[in-house]
Amino acid sequence: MTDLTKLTLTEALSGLEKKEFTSVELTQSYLDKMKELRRLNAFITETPEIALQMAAESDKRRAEGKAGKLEGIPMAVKDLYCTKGVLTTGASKILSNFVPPYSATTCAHLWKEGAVLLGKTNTDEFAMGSSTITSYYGVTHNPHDETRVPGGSSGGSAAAVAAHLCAAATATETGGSIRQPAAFCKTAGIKPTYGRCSRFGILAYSSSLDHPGVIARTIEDVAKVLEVMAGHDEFDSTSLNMPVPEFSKMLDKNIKGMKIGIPKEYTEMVPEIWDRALAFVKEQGAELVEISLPHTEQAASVYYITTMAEASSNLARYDGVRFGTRVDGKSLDEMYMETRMDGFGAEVRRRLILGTYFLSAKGYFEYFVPAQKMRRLIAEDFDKAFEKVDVLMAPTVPIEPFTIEEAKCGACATKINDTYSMPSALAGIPAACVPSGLQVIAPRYEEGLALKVAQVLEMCK
Amino acid sequence: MSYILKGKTNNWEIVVGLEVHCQIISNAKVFSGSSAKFGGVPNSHVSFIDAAFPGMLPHLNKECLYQSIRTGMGLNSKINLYSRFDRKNYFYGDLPQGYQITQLFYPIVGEGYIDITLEDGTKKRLRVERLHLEQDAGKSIHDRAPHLSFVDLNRSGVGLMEIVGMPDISSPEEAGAYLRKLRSIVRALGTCDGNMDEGSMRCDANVSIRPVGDKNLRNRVEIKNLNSVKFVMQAIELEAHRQLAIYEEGGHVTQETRLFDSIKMETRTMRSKENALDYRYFPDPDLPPVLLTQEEVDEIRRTLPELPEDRKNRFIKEYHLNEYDADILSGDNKTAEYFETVAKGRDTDKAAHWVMGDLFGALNKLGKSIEQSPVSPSNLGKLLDLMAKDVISGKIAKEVFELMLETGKDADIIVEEKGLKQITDTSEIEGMIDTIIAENPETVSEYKAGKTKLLGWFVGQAMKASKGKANPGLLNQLLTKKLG
Repeated sequence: MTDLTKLTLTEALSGLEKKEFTSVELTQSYLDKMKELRRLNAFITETPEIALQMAAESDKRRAEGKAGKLEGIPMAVKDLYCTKGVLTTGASKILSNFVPPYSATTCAHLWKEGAVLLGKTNTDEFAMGSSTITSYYGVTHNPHDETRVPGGSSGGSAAAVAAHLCAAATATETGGSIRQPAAFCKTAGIKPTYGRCSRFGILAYSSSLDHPGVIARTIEDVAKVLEVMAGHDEFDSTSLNMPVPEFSKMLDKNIKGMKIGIPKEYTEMVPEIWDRALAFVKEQGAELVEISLPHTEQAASVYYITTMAEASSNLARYDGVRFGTRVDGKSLDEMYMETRMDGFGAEVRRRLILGTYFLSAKGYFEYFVPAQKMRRLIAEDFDKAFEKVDVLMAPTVPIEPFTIEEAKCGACATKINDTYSMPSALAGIPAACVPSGLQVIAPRYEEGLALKVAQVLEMCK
Repeated sequence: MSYILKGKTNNWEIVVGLEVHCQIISNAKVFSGSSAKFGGVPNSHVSFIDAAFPGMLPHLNKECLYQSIRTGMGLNSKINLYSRFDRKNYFYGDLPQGYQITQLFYPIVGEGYIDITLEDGTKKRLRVERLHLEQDAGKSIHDRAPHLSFVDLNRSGVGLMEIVGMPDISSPEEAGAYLRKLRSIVRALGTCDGNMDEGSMRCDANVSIRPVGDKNLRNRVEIKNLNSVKFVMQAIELEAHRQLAIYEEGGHVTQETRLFDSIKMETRTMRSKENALDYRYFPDPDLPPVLLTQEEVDEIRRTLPELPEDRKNRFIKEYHLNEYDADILSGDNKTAEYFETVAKGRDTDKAAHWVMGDLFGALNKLGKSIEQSPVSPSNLGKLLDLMAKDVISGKIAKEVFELMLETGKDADIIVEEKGLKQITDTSEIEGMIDTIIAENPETVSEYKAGKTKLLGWFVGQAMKASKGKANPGLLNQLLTKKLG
């Protein structure tokens, strides 16, 4: 039999439908590959028994004519998503013993449509980082060059997709954590509109910026997974209460007459494919328009102030009282300090301390409030741009992945790393990215448009 | 009636503002679906949301929001169409999230007021600054084991309304009246049961004093742990005198939080201002702002139950009660309901008289609330009917009432069983009178000689003979005629 892991998700679905192979066979192929490439450290937890059981049940459903939209598709889940009965750590020591008695809403949606759980992917601890080096479970290696990082925080998911250890993976982004690893690992992905996917059951990093999304090998695959994960959730008050379009049916490859904006602030450094891509979309009948997003430079400060402030509050629940690890102390305060000192890694502690300061009586008005005002201006940059163009096109991240050594020295903090993704994350608008390192940013709720244009870019080699 | 502290150097007045936490009556907690019932086996009303498990998020229970709005309407307050939730961050064992969801910047209810009437009839309007919606913490239990604390999260996430009063209170008595009025309002609205002893209504008092005539506010002290109206009044008085002693000796009152000890009858430092926590308030990113329409608010107002103040005015108008009686009878739902059942279609004066006199007296003696009254309102009504129809006299009625209290039986049954029906048969009474006249010729002579005061003696004898059942009016009339 051919290597089933070579198939895209869409191809695999078609093969399953045509009964060319079973989900158990497909799943076994991925499990074998996971075992073979365990050195990449893409997974924190592998769940082979659960996977095979889910695959067997899936095959049964398919035989009974009850196939869901992702029936039998083996997927990996970022370890920030709670999975009922399966260790969920957030790549943190403090949750190294936490087995949630519930699943994230998005996961529940996936299982309901027949997806199969292969395991939980590595990430930066509580998603704080962009190289997957802050994980308590060690660094993940980039499958294209194992001396390099896969990006982060969804590095495990991107690496697993790129190395064909799963058909697709869930991911989360607060300011580049889907798009940057997707680019570093040469995969596709989407950060949808804020609220499109429920946050319920996903470990919170920065509530106003946490975007659950998808990493997969093609835009079509991404679209198919997103339309299953998305949807209103009464348990997440910030989730969008609107119908989910069938994104995968909006991919008609026709961008004729479309106006594509090129933000001039995003072209300081461009990948090698850039000029070819510009020519390609013009050939396809789109019009290119130069656009300015004047508050781009402020995005990083706004991002760090907001995420650290929210995280300092969101992570207060990891206190050793009800779940997770605990280090006893002589008093309640001492127990808190010992537990959190031991349970959190250095990067998480650094961000919590800064975040605590940003919310202090002094810091609140000096940092947090101005940051929120600036955040609005950044969002308005996009609103104004979308008065003139349909979507924006830009490099995802215009640099090569760092080596693991560089990342450990803090090179990932280089400004350019997140410059092109943070503003659209702060604005909460959708952005789809393709393996060649380009992204398409669309207005709120227009994931379909972003995916459609991204798929055209995907064709440019 | 002004409340003045007389010092050696000055006369001082007190300035008090109360912060009252009212637990919201609702089936479910404010940000989760779990039961908001009081008590229960520890940790039996706790969802993963209440315990702040990883990935759990709050979602607003609209009923709690509506209860807050209803309460705001009871406080004559502005209802804010835009409100928002904020996080108050601090670490404690019974605070699972590590923060309390509250409303600092944009509360659901804005300014309003409570009108109070003091015992001497003085009326005063006390302003309310705001009411905000928040969640309660769990309970820490420290006295079960020497080196362990226990946490019960049943209360964690139960909806609370914090009602912040302006510093308009200038005596312990006013503070008491404010609390009682507030309690009668939330009880009438069904938004809080108002039981301070169970902790469903909790009060902190901010107390300062200043020389009479001084307009500037001095440092205030916040007193916590006040779980009865009496304790609030006592604590204010104690604290005012403590501050007086400090100022009179040329000292300085530090701004701090103090605890009231009802056994030692003192307040003592809990934490000073220097040790005040920085709660790092910020808008809760998990909860979007609450946007209400005026129509929605109007709809809630339309379905509002009658407020104590409105009910009092109606009682004055409808039942012709005086202000004092109306105040007492309208103050709480159960009393008002009881009174109205008795008064409907009857002599309202008599109804008020019996409820406030005989009934309250009896309940007081029995230590029972009006809901536990052995005499139901319809039964008391029947008793009044028997009097109105001259079936029994007022005197016999008191006897019947005692028996009703004892046995819980209906008034008419008791009257029947005990043969207490009033004698209205003229010939029967005449027979009794004739016998008395015949047996007491000397007294009759004395009476006829002008000692008319003896009529009372004859009435007494006749009543005795009839076992108190003779119709008093008829008896008088017949006696006068016979002795005439």
